[in-house]
Amino acid sequence: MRIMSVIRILLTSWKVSLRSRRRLISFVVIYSILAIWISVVLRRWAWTNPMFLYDAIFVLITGAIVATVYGFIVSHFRQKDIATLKCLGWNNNEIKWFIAGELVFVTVISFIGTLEIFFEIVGVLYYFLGNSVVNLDIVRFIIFPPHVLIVSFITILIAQIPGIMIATWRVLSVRPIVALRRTI
Amino acid sequence: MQKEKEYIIRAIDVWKEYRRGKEIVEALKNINLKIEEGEFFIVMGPSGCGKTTLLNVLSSLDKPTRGKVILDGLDLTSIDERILPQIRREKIGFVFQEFNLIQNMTAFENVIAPLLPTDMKKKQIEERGLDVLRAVGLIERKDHFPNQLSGGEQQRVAIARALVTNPRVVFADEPTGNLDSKIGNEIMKLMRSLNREKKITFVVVTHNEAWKSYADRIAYMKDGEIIKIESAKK
Repeated sequence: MRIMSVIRILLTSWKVSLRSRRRLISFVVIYSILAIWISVVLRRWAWTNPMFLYDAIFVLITGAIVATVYGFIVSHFRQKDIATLKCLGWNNNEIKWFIAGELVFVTVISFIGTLEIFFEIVGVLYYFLGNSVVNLDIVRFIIFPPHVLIVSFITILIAQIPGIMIATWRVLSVRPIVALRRTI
Repeated sequence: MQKEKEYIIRAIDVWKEYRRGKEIVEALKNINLKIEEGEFFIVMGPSGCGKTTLLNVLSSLDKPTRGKVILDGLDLTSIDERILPQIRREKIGFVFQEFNLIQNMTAFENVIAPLLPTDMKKKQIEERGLDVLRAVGLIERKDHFPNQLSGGEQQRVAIARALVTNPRVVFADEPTGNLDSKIGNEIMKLMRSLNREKKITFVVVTHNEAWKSYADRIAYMKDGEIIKIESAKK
């Protein structure tokens, strides 16, 4: 598979996921909450704190569950599309890129979107209140050190693995003949 | 592999059996069929007679239990499963009863979908997409989504998508099944004119007797068997 065709498939998958608004918005909101939650847990990083490990495991499992549900939804509701693409000559790898592209894309835009909203909030507050914003609880809550953001981003991406695996497995299991099945 | 030139499709002693509980159902019984290149071939018969099963087997979507299917010189029954997508992309186009357009893609994006994983350049892909949309008379609707198009227009987009790879054969499964008779007639006319213009073989499965006049030959099926092949050539 050539790099150009992978890029084309990914761009199309991103375009398609942006257009499935209801699903996109609900999962962006869920992933954003997850991103904040992970960052808050990571900010309290201290090996001496026994609760940290439980929190970290809990948040990772939640992330994996969300990703699994999303992977299942995407691959389930796209069964006919997957079968049709197989009829059109797409192979399993190409379809996997198409589906996995959507899962990763939603994660990335949720994270970037959340950061962007936080920047905006801090910016607006700074405009009106100046340096005193640093004393505000909300600002202290939404400002994270860069290493925390990087680690939480990587954690969310890792939590995608089960979702991608589920979606990939379902891509393999859909036979092209499903495309001819009547829905009525 | 030796290429057999004279016929684009050959089915030799094809049987298809399904297991339904303890019972074995014979969906296709000893099918022998030769379809010439550039032919407009219609498979007709009542529902449940095995038309769609035959289309599935001829188009590589399903394997026969016994027998051989040769498409453009390639034995589809013995070919490696991993090569089938490439064969579908290069040699086969599909038109479905329910159009099967991807809802979140525009008409143009649906049409060029088969070309996305190829090595073709973006410009070439776009040109090819626009050409086929022009051929089916939908160039002005290229940025519309399927839900903004009528049933007939959606089927025309699906036909354009089937043609975008310049296939050797287009398989159409009840292409007018979801359309009223007037639009259905337009779709059949369009497929027939594309068949004549581009010399692409069409294999159309239908139960609608009204479309007989479009065919070069018609195969009549009953209970999994071809009972008669009628030539419409004068």
